[in-house]
Amino acid sequence: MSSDPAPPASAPSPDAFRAVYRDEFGYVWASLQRLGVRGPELQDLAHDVFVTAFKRWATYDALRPVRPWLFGITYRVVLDFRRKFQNHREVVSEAVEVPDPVMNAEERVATRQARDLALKVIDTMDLDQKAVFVMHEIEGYGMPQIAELVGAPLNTAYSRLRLARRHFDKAVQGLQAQERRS
Amino acid sequence: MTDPEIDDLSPVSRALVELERGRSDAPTEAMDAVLARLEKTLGLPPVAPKPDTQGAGTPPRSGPGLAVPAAAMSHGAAGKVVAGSLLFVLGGFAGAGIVVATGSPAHLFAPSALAGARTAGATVAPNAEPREEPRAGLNANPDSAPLTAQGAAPSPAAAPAGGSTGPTAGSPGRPSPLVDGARPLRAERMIIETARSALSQGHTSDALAALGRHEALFPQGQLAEEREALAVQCLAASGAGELARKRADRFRRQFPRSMLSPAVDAAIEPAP
Repeated sequence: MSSDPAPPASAPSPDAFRAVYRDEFGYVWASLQRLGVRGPELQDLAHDVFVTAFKRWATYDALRPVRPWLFGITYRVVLDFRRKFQNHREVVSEAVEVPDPVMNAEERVATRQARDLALKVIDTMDLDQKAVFVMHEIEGYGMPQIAELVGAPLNTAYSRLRLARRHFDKAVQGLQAQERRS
Repeated sequence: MTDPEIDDLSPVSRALVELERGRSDAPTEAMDAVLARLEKTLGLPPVAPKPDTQGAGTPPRSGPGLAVPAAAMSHGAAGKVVAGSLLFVLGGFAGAGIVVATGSPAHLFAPSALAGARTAGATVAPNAEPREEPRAGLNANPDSAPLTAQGAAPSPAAAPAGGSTGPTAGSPGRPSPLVDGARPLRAERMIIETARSALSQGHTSDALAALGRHEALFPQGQLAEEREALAVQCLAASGAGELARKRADRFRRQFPRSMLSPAVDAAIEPAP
């Protein structure tokens, strides 16, 4: 007689889901922004990410960190959205910043400006490069894991990273040159 | 499989990336609005009113297959500290009012800032393969953990609450446990000593990173005066003369009667 079959796919308890939502909403929100989502779509897509997470809960390996799994969902939700709205024009809106008790007002402004600058540069990459760049450079994921998450061969993932780094550096150099001219 | 050779990011790009790690600007209203929509979409039962505020109690962990590591739960102090490192380097500009609220932030690339901008990225090895199992989340880079980076051992006050599922250090409105710890002065000293030691060995980037951590964690700390004096010395030693002078001006305004003034003045004097 074989061992018990694996339990059927099940959704998380409402409490558990809310706990993950509360803990990870900020992460998903930031990830969406890094993948180029702005304006009212941020809320819509954050909603879609968590709906997908809820429905696909059975695919989450509880022994592993939840964020890579959530990022994979986020990436696919954004990819889907882009495919549906190829000509969609992003609306850049001012993010509402949560005051940081450690930083003073000047530091907050400077931090936000520098972060927005990084985001603007990332925004100019195509989505595939953007996803690999964000996962590797910002989230610190390993390349094999990234290749798995984006469903691409490892060499392709490395190639995207190489192009993304080059692109990022070039854009930053461009901004530096722009400043020197001004 | 070995990593293919890929050029690493430039120091300035790396610093910007490090700073982006600390992003945590999700508005509470959006969080509430999306949750309300989710409850409707998924048919979640309403939550009974809780006596404590968000994050003040232990979040429920009763769901099947739910094992979210504590390290994955916040944008964390680490991101804040990394941000603090870069901002610390840029502090001369911010303090001088050069960083303005509108327009292009391109002045962040001023030549004198570039010398120090490496600070935030100094902990990332070029082409390094990141962790296979990252400490999920925005503080995934272990090098950016408070006080443990740059070889400084964490103090008891700095130790994270192991396995705790409670509120995290970076939660808005809540001070870092490092600040609240029983021995904040000891933690302050450790960071300052790390900076001093790095400076004496000529590792100005490491020194500035440590000082940035100190400023992020203890902006009004007991060793703030020492930190600011060291910062001037570090900036001067790293060739960021303009920043060093601005920092020195700020130091004199903040600490007009400081015994460290001669050392600060000496640091920014032009070489004979």
